[in-house]
Amino acid sequence: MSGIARGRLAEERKSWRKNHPHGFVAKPETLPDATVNLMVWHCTIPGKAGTDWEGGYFPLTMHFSEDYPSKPPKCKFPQGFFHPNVYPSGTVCLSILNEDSGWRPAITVKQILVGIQDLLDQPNPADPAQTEGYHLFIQDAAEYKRRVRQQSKQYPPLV
Amino acid sequence: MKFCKKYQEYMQGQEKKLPCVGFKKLKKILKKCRRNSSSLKPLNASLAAKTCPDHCPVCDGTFFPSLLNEMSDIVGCFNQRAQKLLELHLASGVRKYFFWIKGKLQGNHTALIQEGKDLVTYALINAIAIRKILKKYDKIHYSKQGQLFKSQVQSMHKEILQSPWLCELMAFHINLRETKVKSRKAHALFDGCSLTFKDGKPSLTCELFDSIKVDIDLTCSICLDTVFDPVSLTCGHIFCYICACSAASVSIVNGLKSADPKMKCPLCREGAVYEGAVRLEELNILLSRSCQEYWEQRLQTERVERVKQIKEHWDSQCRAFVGV
Repeated sequence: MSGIARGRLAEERKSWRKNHPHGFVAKPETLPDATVNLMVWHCTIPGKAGTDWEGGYFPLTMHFSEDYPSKPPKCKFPQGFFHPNVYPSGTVCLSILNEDSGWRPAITVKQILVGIQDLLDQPNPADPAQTEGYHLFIQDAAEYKRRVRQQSKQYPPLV
Repeated sequence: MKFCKKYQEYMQGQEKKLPCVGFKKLKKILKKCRRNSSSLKPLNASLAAKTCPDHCPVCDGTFFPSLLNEMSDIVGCFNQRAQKLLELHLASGVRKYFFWIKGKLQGNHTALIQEGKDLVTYALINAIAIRKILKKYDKIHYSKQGQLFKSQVQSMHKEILQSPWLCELMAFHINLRETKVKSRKAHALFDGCSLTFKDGKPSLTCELFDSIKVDIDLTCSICLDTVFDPVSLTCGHIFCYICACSAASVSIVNGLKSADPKMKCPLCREGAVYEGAVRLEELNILLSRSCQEYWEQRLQTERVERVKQIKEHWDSQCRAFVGV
């Protein structure tokens, strides 16, 4: 089914270049031989204005399988990323990225990235993916806020 | 002129007796309900004279079952007649010759086009009638029961605007528009259908005297391109045939009929929607004429994918046969 996956990703790329939300970046990977690999996208998600995440530009990699869009992409922040719904490996835990719950082939790259941006400031405590982020979010709001702000400073905009 | 009167005039003007919404009967039920509730409630209650409770035994026991039966009859009749009409138009080979002879005897080509128009009008005017009577229910009850009923009906596939045959008839109407047909009086109601492109994305639109506008998006939400060899699942969502097969995890060789009933629609996640899928052949003809360059290009890529899948299928069949 790879024909469908690549065709869809080419359309996604075209659509993104035509119109995408401000501050976001989404580009297919460029290989050393200068060819483009549509199956891996390097993205940047800006922290939402007016939140503790503001000022941070968080790198995210999207891995698409040959079964895309029947199966969702795997979205990964850098290893050790601090957030209750991000696994220690960096994989994002979000219902719309789960094949058995919220994923639908109609969901676009744009919707995924905006969904992850929303998740940053609105964690889902019912679905924790890391111990540290979850415990601080539940038990120590002040320390949680401090850690988030600190992390936002670690990811300044790439000029 | 009030819609109720306009609707009744339209339905009476039909040559054949067709199922319709019993507007008067349903209005009577609601009036009766209004009377009952005002006699039961104290006069000082501000809404007492106008409304009856959210869940009302008088209405819920008669109004909704009655409307549901009418909707079932309307959709059933519409689907059956549309299917028959399009079968006539799309027939090939010996069947086409047979229909042609039959048509000559009955003077039938213009009648075919006229019936297509009639059916689209029938679908739209009934959709308006249903919408109006449900609005009236909600107004009287100060509730959202009417809207809730509408969404339940959609999940039961008894909503006429969801019918794949409506989309096919609209395409049929555009495909044959060049043929001049003397319009009957009833078609002052019908503003015709058109294929429109917005930002390069096609959609079928159709209006009925400013009351309702049907807008069918023709972009496949799997490949995000114009639907190619379109198919409508039983939930009413349209996809490219090859994309639908991919979503249902079946090969083109086996087709959608072989899809697991557990497989869900890629858009609404409703189950068991593949087996009754309908190939939209009129729409296919319309799009192939309207987007020729894209069609040619897509035909090439599709051919490659089909050949690949057929080869894989026969390889696996051979392996199974040999016992590898």
